[in-house]
Amino acid sequence: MADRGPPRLAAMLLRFLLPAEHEAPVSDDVSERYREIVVSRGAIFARLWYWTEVARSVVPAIRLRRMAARSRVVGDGRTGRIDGLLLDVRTGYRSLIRRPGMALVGTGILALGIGGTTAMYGAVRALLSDPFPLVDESRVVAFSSPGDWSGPEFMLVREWGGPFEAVFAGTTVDWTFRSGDREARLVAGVQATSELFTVLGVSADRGRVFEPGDDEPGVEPVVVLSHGLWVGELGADPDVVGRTIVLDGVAHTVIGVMPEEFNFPSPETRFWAALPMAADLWDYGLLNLFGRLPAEFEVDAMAPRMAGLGSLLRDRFDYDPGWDRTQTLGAVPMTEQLLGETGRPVSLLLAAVAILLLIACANVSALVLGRALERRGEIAVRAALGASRGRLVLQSFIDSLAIAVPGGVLGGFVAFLGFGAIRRLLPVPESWRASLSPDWTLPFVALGLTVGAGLAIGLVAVRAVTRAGLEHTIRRAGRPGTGEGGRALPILVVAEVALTVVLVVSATALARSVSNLERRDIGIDPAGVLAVDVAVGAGDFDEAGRHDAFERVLTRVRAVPGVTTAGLTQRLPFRDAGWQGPVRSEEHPDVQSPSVLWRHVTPGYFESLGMSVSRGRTILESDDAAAPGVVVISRTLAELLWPGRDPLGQRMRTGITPSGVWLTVVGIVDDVPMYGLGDAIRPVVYVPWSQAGVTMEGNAIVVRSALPAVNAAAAVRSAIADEDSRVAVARTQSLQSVIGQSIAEPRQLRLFLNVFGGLALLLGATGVYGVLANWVRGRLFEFGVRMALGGTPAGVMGLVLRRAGILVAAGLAIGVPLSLALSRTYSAFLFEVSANDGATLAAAATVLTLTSAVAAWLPCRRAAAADPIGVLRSD
Amino acid sequence: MADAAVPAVELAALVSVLRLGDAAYGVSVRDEIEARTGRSASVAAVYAALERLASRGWVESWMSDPLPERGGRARRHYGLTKAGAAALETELAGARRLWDGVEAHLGARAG
Repeated sequence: MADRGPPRLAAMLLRFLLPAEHEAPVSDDVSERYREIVVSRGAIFARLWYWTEVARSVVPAIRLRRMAARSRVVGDGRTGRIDGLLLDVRTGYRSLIRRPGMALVGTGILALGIGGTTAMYGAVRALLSDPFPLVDESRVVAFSSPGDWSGPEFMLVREWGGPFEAVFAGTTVDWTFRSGDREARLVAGVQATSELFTVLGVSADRGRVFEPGDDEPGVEPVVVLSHGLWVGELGADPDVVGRTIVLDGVAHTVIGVMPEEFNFPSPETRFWAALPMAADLWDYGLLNLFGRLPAEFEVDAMAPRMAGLGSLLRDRFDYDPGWDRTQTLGAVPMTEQLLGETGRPVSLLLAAVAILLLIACANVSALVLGRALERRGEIAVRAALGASRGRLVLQSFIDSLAIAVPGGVLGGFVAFLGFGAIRRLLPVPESWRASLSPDWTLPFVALGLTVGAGLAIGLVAVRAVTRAGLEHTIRRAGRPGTGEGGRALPILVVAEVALTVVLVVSATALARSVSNLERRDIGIDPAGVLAVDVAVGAGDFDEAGRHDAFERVLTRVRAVPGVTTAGLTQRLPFRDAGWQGPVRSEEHPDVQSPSVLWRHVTPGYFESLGMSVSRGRTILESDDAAAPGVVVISRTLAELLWPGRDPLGQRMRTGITPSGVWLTVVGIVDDVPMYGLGDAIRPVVYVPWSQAGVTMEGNAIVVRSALPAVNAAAAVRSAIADEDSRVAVARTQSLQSVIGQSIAEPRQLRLFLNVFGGLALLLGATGVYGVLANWVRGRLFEFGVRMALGGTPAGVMGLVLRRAGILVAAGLAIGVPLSLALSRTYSAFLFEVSANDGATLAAAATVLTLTSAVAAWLPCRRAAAADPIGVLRSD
Repeated sequence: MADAAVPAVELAALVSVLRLGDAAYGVSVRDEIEARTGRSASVAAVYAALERLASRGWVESWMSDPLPERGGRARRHYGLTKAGAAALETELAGARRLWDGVEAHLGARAG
């Protein structure tokens, strides 16, 4: 009697044909007759009969469907398939509304996850996907050794041409800008040869771009303005083309205005001025070279052509063997050169927030699953009453979408509204910050994430529903948490804990790193020090005049009431890079030291910064151009050049000073991390400003005063304007904020990772709580019995805690190796701490364990309160 | 509704529901039709006819209690409404008028 059922395929077909409300009665009736025929005529005949019956049912079934549809229009209360779907949606929402806590929590969690991921994606996209909207980035490449090319070298490259359609040389400049009677201000711009716009392939919005000949020495200087400068400073003057403006103290004729989107090489660039070019200009080499490739050019063909250029250069010029860049000449895509690693911190945060979204999904899955398990009784009854498995699966998906869709919509708003707020806090280069904005892709990203999250969450619940044997479920319907579907819940929570470990470990590592940075001994006392950037235009002074102007301004600043001391340098520590090269000591003139930073400083510089001179003396007013050459060196340089010996009185020379001049070491000062708090200690040589032989157009004055920073800044500004209005004060900043900005990126990373880590902990704890609560509820009977048999509350609590311990231990066992594997992605952001050192991992594990203990507390209490009598009665 | 001609299948189903009384459900209606007319209909076709009658308001349906046997299932039962009974009377009267005296005529032609 094994084969008593009707042919399965035929039975399915029949049910498929019939409208929902007739599915069960009709097919059951047919099966009933089938069984009678099996008895009377045999199984083979019965099967044949069944198939015939199905075939003959096609037309009546269609008629039944049509009638069912019509009756729905009339609205007599019966429902069909589509109506059933709507009913399922209604049921889903109604049960969510019955338990608003779960709905709100789930929606809120997903909204944060989806919104955060979408917003972070927006930021990454702005920086990485198409940062230069008007330029065909695939065709523009940067020559290696940026900032190292000289005018004569460029002339050779221009003549050579190689595979390039055009090559330009250029450099970024900060120039004083004056219009009308207003005092001079510094604006950022580019000075480049006439090929600039040809290489980039961009034309002007108004007027024209450079033409060949604009960069001939001696022609009238021309400039193309950014849209921002034109609107902000020149009132969007429609007749601006042909007007004259004063940049760098020199009158420039405006020949064009660029489109608003043009942002080469960064969005803060305000103008593009022609760079006078000839073989005898720019021979000290500060230029960058960019070239435009033909559309069909193969990147592989680049290396041999650049090698060819290298040998051409070697034939024409002499290169120091230690610094010969012609050997390794290459070209990199322009975006890589200009943005390089700047997208990495945000990419890291995008990964972190995506992990958070995963945790959120796991959490919401656990919520939906918990609900599905609670409703297994209802589901089993519906299945018994003839609801098809497909319908039940659908119901589970609808349940999850009922949370995911509002979560996604809310997430979209979170992303859009939150974008402005997080933009200010993101670890991105300042010059790009303002240009980050949400674009058209974001709604689609939010939509995709919503659907993805909804499906992922639904799948978990569906598996639980379809795997739970229905009869089995009915029998156990009254006792949640004990069925087969209950196994999925702990797995989800372990995954959640593991991902939380990853976020908490990275947040801990970053936090330790930042606190290391903040506690670092920096060799100066920044409190009460003001940094003032001052600049003059090349056209306003010759070099001697410049030197004199800065001297006068400095003297005037020292006289401001409240100012204790003031000094000047060409490069502010903790911020400015550059000016470096090898040095040689007199004893070993053939041995070249590693690169040493070269700083011009006036008397008062060390005193203003509070740097202590550990040996010898500081720089004095008497160290002027006529006096013998002296230097003060940093402790590290002293140990490098004269290890174990007294450096005072020793002599050295550099590649920057005129050859044959030996400089005597007269003092040693403490080390300062010159490129910012996170930077390594570099050797420094301090040269008296008056002996440096060159005066730059831009310098920084450091002022120590007893005044509050704001008052000091105002007083210094007005003193400088009063002394000489041609000297521009670019900005004033407290040295503390300069130092703070040098670690802005790790601080911003820490902020975001702390928030993400905190949210992950919260979600992880909720997950642990959910599983334990569910588990305890399922075992209240068992606990009651234990208590009745003399078990203690402590013993029962121990059972719950052990369960919690297993969850956390499993999560740690997966999460710790996972964090170790992922630590490489952020180790570059760490200072004197490693992502995989024991202390970081131990700290993270402790935080996680404590949080889980808090989460376990409530289920523990409930278990311990299990009332033997009550439990026994209730079942 | 009553003025439209009632298809033969529906009429047969209606009569069967009347004859079967409490025992009218898909299979039994089907058997009754087959026994009376010699025409076999599929179960689905019987249901289509019954639903059509239900939409005319002539029959009503309900789910029975599960059958008192192992794995017993609920059946969809049908019963005649007052309107259904009235409609049957009308149909019967019409049929009587139509067929009245036909046998005599047939006998005359045969003879």
